[in-house]
Amino acid sequence: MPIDRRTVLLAAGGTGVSAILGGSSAAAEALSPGLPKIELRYAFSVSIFFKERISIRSNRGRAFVPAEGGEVWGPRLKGRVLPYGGADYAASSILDAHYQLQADDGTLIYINNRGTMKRLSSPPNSPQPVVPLQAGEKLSQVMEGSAAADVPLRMRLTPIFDAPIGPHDWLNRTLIVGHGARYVGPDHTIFSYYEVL
Amino acid sequence: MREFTVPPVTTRNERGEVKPEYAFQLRARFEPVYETHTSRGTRLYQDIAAGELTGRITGKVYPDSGGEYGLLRADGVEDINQRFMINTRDGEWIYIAHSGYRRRKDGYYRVQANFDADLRGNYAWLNDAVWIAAVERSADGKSSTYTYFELT
Repeated sequence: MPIDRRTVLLAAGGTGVSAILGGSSAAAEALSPGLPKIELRYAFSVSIFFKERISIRSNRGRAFVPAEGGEVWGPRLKGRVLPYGGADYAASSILDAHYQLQADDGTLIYINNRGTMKRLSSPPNSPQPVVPLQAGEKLSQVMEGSAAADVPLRMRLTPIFDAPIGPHDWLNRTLIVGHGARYVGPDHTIFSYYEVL
Repeated sequence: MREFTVPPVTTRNERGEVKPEYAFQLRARFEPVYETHTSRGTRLYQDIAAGELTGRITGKVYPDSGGEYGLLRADGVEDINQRFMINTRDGEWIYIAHSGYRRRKDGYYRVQANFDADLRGNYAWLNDAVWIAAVERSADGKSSTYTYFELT
């Protein structure tokens, strides 16, 4: 759709683009004066406490990380993660977790927490060497990871929710993005979600 | 049901920061919509006829390489499901897939984009990032402008 003169004039009157794009706004506006407004609004955070981490060194590098439970807090949703209500089945750098959340009013909400994660301390997606087993050696599938310090991971999420029709059904029709940070002692991750307005 | 008590942690208010950063824009033209009524809802098929990309990617949509296969739900929201191919000006092929929501009621139209670009080429940076786009659809449905932002 070609941007006509009227669109350009309308966009020039708006303040949204420059405020949101910050430092890069001048270059972006020069490229495309009719940029629509996009804004992120903090919605809620979820903490998830993990029971254990099991890795399968298949060609996809699948992991199984079950959740014990957690909390949900923020302006748009409050509640908890249903105890033992799901797991992350991550494959290499792809997050693919499924959990049941429970809002304060008792509503069960399904979340498919999809996204990417990258280790910040090592080159991105660097393959872990798979060492063949020695004769008689047992396969160890407990995932190694530093238990002494928080894990520097860069997580970016685009979750999908399924909420029943009612006060939480905005989750079914709003694009939501998020990020996460992983902590140890005890092993948990805190995800924060934003509505894409 | 088994119970679990959340241990007290000091990082509870951790929020970090995410920012949408403008990257490129796509102006796409679509063929008329075909509607089929299925058990899942109304499947909307729309062939992508053409498109041009400007910004960090310069290129064209490969004509008829796919399009929109969205599902109109009972609540008037369309689950977006689009996929097609991009041919860049320097000759690379990129696969693009959109998912998201288009609301009939207020015109809200936002998608998340997934790209598959060759790891050896100039667009491998598309593979690792998370992309969202604001979409503006013309009233006749024949053209849409996608403005892509990287979630930094």
